[in-house]
Amino acid sequence: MGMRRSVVVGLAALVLLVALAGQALAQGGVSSADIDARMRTITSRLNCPLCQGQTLTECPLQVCDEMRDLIRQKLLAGESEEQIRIYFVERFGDRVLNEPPRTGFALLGWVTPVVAILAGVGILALVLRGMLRRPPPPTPSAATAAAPVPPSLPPSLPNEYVERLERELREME
Amino acid sequence: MANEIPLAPAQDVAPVTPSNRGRNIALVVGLAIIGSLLLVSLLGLRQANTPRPEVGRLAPAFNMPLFDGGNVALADLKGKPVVVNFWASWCIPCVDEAPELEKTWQAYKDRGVAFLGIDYVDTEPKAREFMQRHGITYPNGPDLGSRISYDYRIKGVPETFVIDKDGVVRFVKIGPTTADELRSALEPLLR
Repeated sequence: MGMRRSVVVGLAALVLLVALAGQALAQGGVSSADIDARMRTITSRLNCPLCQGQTLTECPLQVCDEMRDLIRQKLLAGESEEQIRIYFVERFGDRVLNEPPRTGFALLGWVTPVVAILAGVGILALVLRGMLRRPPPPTPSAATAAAPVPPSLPPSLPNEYVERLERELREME
Repeated sequence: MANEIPLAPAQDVAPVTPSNRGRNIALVVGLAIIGSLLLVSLLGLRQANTPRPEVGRLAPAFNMPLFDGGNVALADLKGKPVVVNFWASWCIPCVDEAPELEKTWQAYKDRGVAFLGIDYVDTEPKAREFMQRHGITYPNGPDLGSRISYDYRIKGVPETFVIDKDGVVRFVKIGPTTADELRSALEPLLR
């Protein structure tokens, strides 16, 4: 009796094991939870090619439903996320990507803001440094205090001109 | 007064200090960035403002793969009138239009008219299913990267262009076309 029960339990376990293995094989060794998670990642990174700013995860259009089905089929067929991304870009263009590609002309979209921010910080730093180094302008009181002192000739005037000017002034007197 | 004192040569040019050099570099970099952004914007605007191929304009050239294999280029069809139809399997008016197009194709395929169906934003399995369901037999293919529909500035699907033997657009229909409309557009091109 005990032996028969062991055999039955053993057979049942074997059948269960074979069934589970069969299911795993049918899905290429991937669980449906895993497929769902990968689906969510892919559809959140792809835009609806017809709507503005809606991802494939949320777009209610029929064509987006069909695209989600296609992605599921491709995942079940063993395609990688990158292969699916490339397929969608080839079919519908770069606009299907949720963020611009980091190659070619679209790279400007990534580089320009960084360069602009760095350039802005650089310019700001230079301006601030210039402001800090410049001596403060004379105050009005300082200007009046300096007034009695006769204005001197520009230092750039050569001596021969100064001498000539003084000589001619003397002659005029 | 006759002996005017000549002005002394100006000596107020500031010497190049490290801070001046830095400021000059920042100015050049800033101007280069602004210049590049302006150039990019102008190029983008120019591309976006390319006019729609209306009647009388040259049809934009294109090359596309076909669902049945191979490729076709509009240039290969020069010398023939060409009917170019943009459609999609999810497009409801395309369902009404499909038998009209197929009927016209059957009537004109032996008279030297070429037909091309361009499948816009669609999945291939659904597109093939649509063609089978509606008995479409003329060449069809996907609009890879939506480039052809962009060049033709289509407003939606369906949309049809009839192009003459010299590649000039002779008829445009936004929305579903009919066999009668296509006949009226094609007959003058075959005379």
